[in-house]
Amino acid sequence: MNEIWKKRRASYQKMLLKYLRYVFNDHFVIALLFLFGAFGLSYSNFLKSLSGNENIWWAQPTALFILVIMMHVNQIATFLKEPDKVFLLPQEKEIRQYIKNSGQYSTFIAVTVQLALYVVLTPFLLFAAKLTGLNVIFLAITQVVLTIDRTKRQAMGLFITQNRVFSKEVTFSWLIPGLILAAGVYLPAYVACAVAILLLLFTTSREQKLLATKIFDWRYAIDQEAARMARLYRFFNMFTDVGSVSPKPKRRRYLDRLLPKYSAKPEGIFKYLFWRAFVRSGEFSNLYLRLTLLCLIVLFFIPNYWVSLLIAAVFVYLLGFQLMPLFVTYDEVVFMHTYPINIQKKFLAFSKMLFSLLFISSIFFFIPIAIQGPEIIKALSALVLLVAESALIARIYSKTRINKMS
Amino acid sequence: MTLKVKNLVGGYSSIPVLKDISFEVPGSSLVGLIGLNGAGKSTTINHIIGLLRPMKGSITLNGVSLQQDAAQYKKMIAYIPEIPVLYEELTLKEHIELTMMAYQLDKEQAWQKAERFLKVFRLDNKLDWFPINFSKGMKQKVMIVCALLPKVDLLLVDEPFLGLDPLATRDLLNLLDKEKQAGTAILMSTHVLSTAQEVCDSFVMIDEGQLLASGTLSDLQEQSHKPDASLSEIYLDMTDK
Repeated sequence: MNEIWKKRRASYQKMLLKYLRYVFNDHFVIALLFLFGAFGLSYSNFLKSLSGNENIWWAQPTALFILVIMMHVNQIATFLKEPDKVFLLPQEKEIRQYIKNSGQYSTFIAVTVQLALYVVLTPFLLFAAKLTGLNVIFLAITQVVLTIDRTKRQAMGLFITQNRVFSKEVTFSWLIPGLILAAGVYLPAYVACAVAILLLLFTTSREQKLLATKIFDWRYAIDQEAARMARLYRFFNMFTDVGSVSPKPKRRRYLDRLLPKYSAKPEGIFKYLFWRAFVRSGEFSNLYLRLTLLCLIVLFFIPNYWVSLLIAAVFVYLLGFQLMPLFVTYDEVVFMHTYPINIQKKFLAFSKMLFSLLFISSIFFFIPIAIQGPEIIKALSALVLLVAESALIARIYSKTRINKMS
Repeated sequence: MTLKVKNLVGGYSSIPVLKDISFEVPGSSLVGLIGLNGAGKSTTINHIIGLLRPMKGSITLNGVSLQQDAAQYKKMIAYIPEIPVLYEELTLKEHIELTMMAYQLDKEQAWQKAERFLKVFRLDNKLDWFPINFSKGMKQKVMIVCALLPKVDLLLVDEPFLGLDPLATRDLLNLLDKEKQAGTAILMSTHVLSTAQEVCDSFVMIDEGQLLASGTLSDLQEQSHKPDASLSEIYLDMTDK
């Protein structure tokens, strides 16, 4: 099992490296440098603007909120794969050592990430939340200890089913850490630090007692790891094509009313299919929402009309580009070829849908640009430009793209 | 209502899998397409439904070929694939609705029909399920329901007996029989020869892409000079295995 662990870790790291090369391609690195610069600048400006204020009531809750969210960035990485539940099933005893390895590795990664993020947060803690230097250090230790505890409990959760009850999950991974961190932010932080260490000791003692008797839950562990990898792949998928991404469809019943109904028109069948595929697939709608939201947030921080317009235009293009594969999602279903449907209407239905989606995004991108307060003509021309771009992408660019795909 | 396959040569790449196959499926009959794994059963069906183009020869249904009038041809066929493939993001109800849209069926009548089928296959309480929640057999039943919904001239059934429970197999055979009575030509591929012997009116036997023999059971018995032989005996005898 030790050999397996080492091999899997090595191949995982190789995989990360491979994809990171795509993520940090030349263009993106330059863009990232700018973004970091912009972020740093606005962060320091923001802190400067606060420095006069004596009592910033929202600073502490915000810090607390960020710390709690931050803690949930990392998940335990077990590198278990689907066939393991058959092939490794006899390794019931050895899996304990395997999970211990994975726990150590995951803890190391998680703590590193936490510290890095904490460094970024530190100026805010010092100047906005007005924590003393000593408290900032103790709070950092608290955060680290809680992270270690969290990873430990995640590892334990692979053995003990009762941890998976929703209320327990909320209590142990949100409520208790939240309370401890609140103590760290509001009280002298060494109190929180002490409580966190006690919690860790408690978890450790429970771990030893319980693990001796429990059975490893292969199905759950494999599902968790698959979900984690899917998240990772989805992230990489924003930059390059990842083969194995296919999240489960979600029912999303509440959106049923908005979906196209039965229609006798020849293109109706494609409209019916494409909208359902978009709304219910984990892939496309998530991607669409995330990119739109991301751009919206970025736009709110950029005070320059032309830069905003450029960014919005780039995002409209990105959105269109990322939605193209929707066109071929159902090509493997044999009905697309055997049903008496007019395949010529497929592109029409697709391009109409694509335009609607890009149009909605354009409207959203227009809001922050308009709020900057340019002249009305200038603001409206931004909207017109974005909508025109949407139409071009949906009608003309998509045609060439799709021809290339199929 | 006759499917005519004439001198069909075809396959997936430039190397032909099917070598000069000819047979007919007349209306109101259930014809069994018999062969071992890899004999060319699915390839033949793929040619008939238009997923593959014939290299030589022709396939016509009521005198219409896919090349002449694809829309008309496709309206006349329905297909139940061996491996059920469904739309991941569509519920069972939406699959049925989609089929109605595709064949432009009268909504009300089609729903009445659909409900009858759903009840037979005990799917009537699962209208809101996604394919991902169905077992393989259930998926296959969904495909059957969708295929039987439109009134077609030719029904193609690819290896229906794997994955279906005995009850569903019986129900399917009953439904196919009813379709047959109504005039539909049915071509069913299978290698479950015992069942085929019971239910099919006639047989088309292929092996390694070549037509071995065709006709009713007594025709085949005569050809192989074994008056009491079962279908499986005849087939194994003919393939010399």
